[in-house]
Amino acid sequence: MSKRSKARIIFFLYILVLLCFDTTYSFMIFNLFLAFAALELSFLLPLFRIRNNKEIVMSMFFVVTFILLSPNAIYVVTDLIHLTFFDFDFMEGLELKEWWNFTILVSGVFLALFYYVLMMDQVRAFLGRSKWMNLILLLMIILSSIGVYIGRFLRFHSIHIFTEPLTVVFQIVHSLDYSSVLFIGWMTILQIIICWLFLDEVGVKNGT
Amino acid sequence: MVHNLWTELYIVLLLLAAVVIISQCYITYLFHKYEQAKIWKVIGILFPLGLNIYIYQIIKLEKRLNNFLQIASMERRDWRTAYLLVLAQYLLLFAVFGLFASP
Repeated sequence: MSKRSKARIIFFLYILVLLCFDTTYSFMIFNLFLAFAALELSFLLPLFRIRNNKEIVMSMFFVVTFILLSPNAIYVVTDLIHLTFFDFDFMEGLELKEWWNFTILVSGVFLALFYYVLMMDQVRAFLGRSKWMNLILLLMIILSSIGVYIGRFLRFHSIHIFTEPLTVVFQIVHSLDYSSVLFIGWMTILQIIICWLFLDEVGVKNGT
Repeated sequence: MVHNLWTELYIVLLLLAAVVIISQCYITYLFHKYEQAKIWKVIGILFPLGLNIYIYQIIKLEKRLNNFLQIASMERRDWRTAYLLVLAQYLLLFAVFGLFASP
């Protein structure tokens, strides 16, 4: 089975589980949907490669939308902070509800990581043999980190870039300080580690 | 302020309805063009929000076009338009969501 099929099957199974069973982390339905949407858009990147001047507008629109949605994949990793909903006081014995929710949240995060790696692999394939490939990938990673910061702390969604562009830019510039830059830096390092560890092993040639 | 919100929502919903109708018709036309089986035309018109093209992509399109790596110019233009219509639907849906979820 190709990695592409695995990603789709596991997504629908995960959503089904969240819909059918009681869990504290039902917000993962929406968060993982956005991560999955970014992955599906990355699968369409070859279709939007620019072949002639007439295609520039449509392709740019698609690629910009994809870039705006792409941070959603790594954003899910920061949802791990919601483990604090529970005490995990293991000295008090096994509390099944806690570990059920732990399984739900962590499996969602693993899924998002899988999507992130597949997505970055698609981006790499899209860039082809460009000598700027590593630089563009790094730029995308930094943009994703900024996206995670915006989503997590300023509570903006990708769509606000379209609906309230000036407010978004103003809020970002206004909120940038030593701590936020450090956070963006840590998210960047985290993504570089993930890419370095997993990106080579997941290739388009392997059926993604 | 409230009046503005409802006016914006009304405009976005109207736009969304228009894009959904255009999208359904266009994707059904493409299914008619590239597929013989009637089931695809039914799926094309009945399944909304890009679900029609998504099912077709998984079952047929990706295999036929080798994950969009081998595609003729004419067909490429058709599918690019179809996917952009679907993308427009989601951006408008997000706009509806964004109107209510502003921080």
